[in-house]
Amino acid sequence: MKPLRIAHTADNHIGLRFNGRPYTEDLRKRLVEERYLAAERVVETANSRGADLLVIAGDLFENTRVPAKAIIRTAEILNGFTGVNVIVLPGNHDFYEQGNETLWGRFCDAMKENFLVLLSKPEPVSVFIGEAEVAFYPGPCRSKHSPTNSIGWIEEKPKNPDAINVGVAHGSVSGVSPDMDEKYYPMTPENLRKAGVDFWLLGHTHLRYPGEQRAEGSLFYIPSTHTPDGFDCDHEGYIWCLDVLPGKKVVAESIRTGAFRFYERKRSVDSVASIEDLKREISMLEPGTTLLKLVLDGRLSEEAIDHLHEIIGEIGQQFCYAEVYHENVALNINREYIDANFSRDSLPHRLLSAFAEQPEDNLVLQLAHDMIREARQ
Amino acid sequence: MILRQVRLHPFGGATDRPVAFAPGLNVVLGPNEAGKSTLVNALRSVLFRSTQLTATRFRSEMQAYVPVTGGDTVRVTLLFAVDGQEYSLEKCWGASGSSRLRLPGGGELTAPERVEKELAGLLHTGEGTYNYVLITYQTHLAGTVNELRKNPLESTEALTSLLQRSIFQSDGISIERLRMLARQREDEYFSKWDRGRGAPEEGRDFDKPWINKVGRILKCYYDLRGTEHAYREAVVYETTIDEFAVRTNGLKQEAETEAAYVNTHARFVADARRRSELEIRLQKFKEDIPRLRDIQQQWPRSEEHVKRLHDEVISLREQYKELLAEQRQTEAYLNQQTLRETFARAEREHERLVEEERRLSEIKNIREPDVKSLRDVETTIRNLQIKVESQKLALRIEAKNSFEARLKTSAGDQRVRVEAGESINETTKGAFELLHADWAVAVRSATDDAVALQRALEAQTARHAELCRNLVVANAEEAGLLQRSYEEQRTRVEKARSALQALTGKESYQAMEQRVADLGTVVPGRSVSVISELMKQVTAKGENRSRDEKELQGKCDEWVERYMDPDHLLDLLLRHKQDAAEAEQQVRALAPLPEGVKDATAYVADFDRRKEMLATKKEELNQLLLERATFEKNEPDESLEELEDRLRDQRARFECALAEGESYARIHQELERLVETLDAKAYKPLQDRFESLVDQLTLHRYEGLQMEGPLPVKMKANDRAFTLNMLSQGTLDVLALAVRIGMAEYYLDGNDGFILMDDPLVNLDPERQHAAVACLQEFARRKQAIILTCHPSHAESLGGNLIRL
Repeated sequence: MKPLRIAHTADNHIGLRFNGRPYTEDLRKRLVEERYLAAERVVETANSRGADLLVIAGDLFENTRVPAKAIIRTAEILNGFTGVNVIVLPGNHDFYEQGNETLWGRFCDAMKENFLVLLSKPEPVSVFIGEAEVAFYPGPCRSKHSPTNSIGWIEEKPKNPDAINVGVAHGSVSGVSPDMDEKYYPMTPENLRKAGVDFWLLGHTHLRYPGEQRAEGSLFYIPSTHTPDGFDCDHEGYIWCLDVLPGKKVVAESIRTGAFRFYERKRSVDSVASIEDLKREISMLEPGTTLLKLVLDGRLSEEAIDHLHEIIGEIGQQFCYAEVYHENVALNINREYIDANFSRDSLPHRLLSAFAEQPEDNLVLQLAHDMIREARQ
Repeated sequence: MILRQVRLHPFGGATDRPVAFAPGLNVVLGPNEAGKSTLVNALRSVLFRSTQLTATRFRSEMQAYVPVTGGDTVRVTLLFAVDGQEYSLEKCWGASGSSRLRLPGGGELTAPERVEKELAGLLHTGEGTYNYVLITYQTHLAGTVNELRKNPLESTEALTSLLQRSIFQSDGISIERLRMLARQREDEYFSKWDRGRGAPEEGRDFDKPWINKVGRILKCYYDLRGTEHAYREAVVYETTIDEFAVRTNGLKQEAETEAAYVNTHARFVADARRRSELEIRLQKFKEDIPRLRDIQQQWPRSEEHVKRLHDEVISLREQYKELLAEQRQTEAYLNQQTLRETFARAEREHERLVEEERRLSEIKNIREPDVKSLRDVETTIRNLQIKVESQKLALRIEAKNSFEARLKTSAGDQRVRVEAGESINETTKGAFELLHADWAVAVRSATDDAVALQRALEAQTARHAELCRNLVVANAEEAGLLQRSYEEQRTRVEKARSALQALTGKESYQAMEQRVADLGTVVPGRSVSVISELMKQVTAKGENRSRDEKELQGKCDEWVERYMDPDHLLDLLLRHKQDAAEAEQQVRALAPLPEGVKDATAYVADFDRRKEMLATKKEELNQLLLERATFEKNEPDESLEELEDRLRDQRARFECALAEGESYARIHQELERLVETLDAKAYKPLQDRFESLVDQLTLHRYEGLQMEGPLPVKMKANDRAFTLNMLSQGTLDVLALAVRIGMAEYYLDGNDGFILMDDPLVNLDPERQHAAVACLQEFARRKQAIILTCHPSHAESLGGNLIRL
């Protein structure tokens, strides 16, 4: 008997405008478009895997005010799913507001009839895959922030032991998501366990959980985003594809769906060799679809600095977006360097020597050296 | 650099011919307008002016040199040597500007930027230095020092750097430039930033920022504050959106609760209302139908009854009239009787009055004053009598012979006869007189005037008697009695008169008497009380009947107005019966009240209240959505997450800018500290050289200078210091010459170079000219000097390579 197969995604943030960084207009448009293209890949993946249900655990949209054409286009993409139902939970970005159904009203209208199950209320909803009942216990979001989660009601609800009882929620999970102010519907593993469902499909955290590509028997699953949306998403964008085997054993596989990569690294460079290592590391990336952010520090010789500047120049040319911070990469100016490059007791020699004594004066030393070099030109 | 040859082809009005220069001293001799200034301008242009000029710059800088004969091009070619290497430079300005620098190895630079860069390297110093030190105009000579002071940046700083280099090796780095860079960097970072407070100067924060001269730290600060502000606004925005969501959800929930109730109960309430209406109608029918039936039955009877009542009323009115007439008759009889009785009484009173009047007439009318007068007289008499009495005399008459006399005493007058041998004793008051026919004896009291008294007494007595006679009384007492009797009687008469008048009223007795006599005969009927009672009864009955008639007539009128006639009333009654049956049927068809609801009115009222609340909630929800839609127009362009990200970056940049700024400040501080140690020594050699030249050129007139940095500001002679504005033109020219030569020596120290002067001797007296020539010749032994003059004598004095224009 074919196991129940669920494709699980979340945090798609369709409608995100990418205004926060100085992207070129062309890149910005590509990033905006990628939200849709990645959604198409999600549906294609779910279809190719023969998924019965496609579950979107919140933040399908960036906010409740995305334009109508974005809603309609998203619905068109999801209508391409060949499974039984698309199950959508409103997240904290696209929270459900009773009385203000502009977003979800339009979305429901654009989805195929009897195809969409919108988990907008805290009450169980069952769908049937053949004769098998899949009961969803949702914790929908009603606002952007909340100090309490929406799943408290589930514990008291009686569950059909013969059904596959699936919790769907959107919020932070202690130990997994950073939420210091506890304002994003905070949950704990204990909350999730006490609810009494068979497993949870969650959203909000843009990191995959469990972290491995394959997982079994986890209490909850977080897919990460379907395609990354910023430098805090250091991954390629995934969905979970879960099989619920007899005995309700869950086997999950994480499948890549994103095309872009936001790659942020901090590196220390202290030699030409380390620069070459960095170069090798970066060469493994796909420049056309990788947005790169490097924060470099270290002390180098003059030729190494020149080499580094060359590479930085190349990076700027190759990658579709690159931010390279190298203010903290300084010339390795030490006593030997000063003696070799400046006449003893000359003004530059004296000036640089005054700062070379203190390690914490590295920046002063670097700037003084650069200034002396400029004055020489 | 030393100049070999310059060619102007074309440049201004100069003749196209090469002008060749030799190393050492060159004198260019030419009259005014020969082209000397043109030559200087051409040299300046070829050395310092780019050929890539905008049309505006060409017009302002080069247009003057376009030949008046025509063309749009200006061209200069210069041959020169640097460190023994030969160069050729050609520049062309105009429609198609071009530059060409042929290098010693045969190479050629034609890109204008590269030519300028290479040239700058070969010149070793900038345009400013050439303008103010190495290439001078005559008119500028005297302004040298001031010009240098006004434009210190390049030339004097470069010179200072040179001077300092001799003491403090700089590794080929311009110390002034380094200081300038340090200053610049510090300014770049800290411009408009208050380091002490760690905030923008003058507190001009993000809300009213500085616009001009914003340093890097301040810029990073404004960027950071701007992002923080945007972040706060985004937080407020999202918090407000959350609040909207909470309120919207709340309102919607409340509305749904009310809507659920309304939807569930609407039918029941509608039926309850309908039932209430129908019941009211049925009730009305229940009341109306019997009423109409009654009316229908009563109407004809009522009309008849109205007629009867009407007739009865008329009859009663007649009765009343009759009774009224009888009453009048009885009243008339009674009035007659009353009159008769009154007259009878009046008659009696009249009789009594007559009697009393008669009695009164029998009583003497003695008036009170009369009585009073009489009493007064009596009182007077008594008083007189007392007085007289007090004048009492005792008389004894013993007669020897009988006699008769009249004796007048107070007691009276009497005849007395006294027989012989008899005596009479008399006492009397006051006086007595015995009057005989032959004699009279009068005896009175010696005190008072007994006679007067007696006379008074007699008078009074006489008066008294007269009064008594008049009043026909004996005395005052009697008079009093009579007077009282009279008064009493008079009172009785008055009473009788009053009693009579009370009966007759205003009418006189006689008139009453006449009236009585005129009375006819009236037959007495029933008593007034009986008649009145009957009248009351008839009146009451009549009023009742009349009221009843009106009432009933009113009813009949009302029925007519309402129903027209009994037939129409019957139709109406039948319709009502039908409608009542229908209403009952409808009531039976309505849904009953929900279980537990007993009071339909309260139930409906509660429903209405909740329905209104639903409308209110919907309205509130709409308002809220409108408010929210308006608010959403303020949505920030960036999400909170993007702003957090940007905030992190900008905080790092600000910290970095602060660290770099502080670093530059430290660099500047350390640099200045180092420079300060050598500044004191730097200018001494220059000062010594200037002083030496000044001493030589002024023929020892001035021996010292006061310096400010690398420039002299005062000249000293005989222990006095003279500011520059106190000096003559010739002395200023000498000072300028000394400064230029001195600076040029330092400037060109270690390099080939040239100095160009235009008529430097023109303002000097012959002795000073001679000294100046010696200085210039000395200079030219070491460097190239090009002197322009229009004076052949100056040219002859200077010697050297003579070039005639």
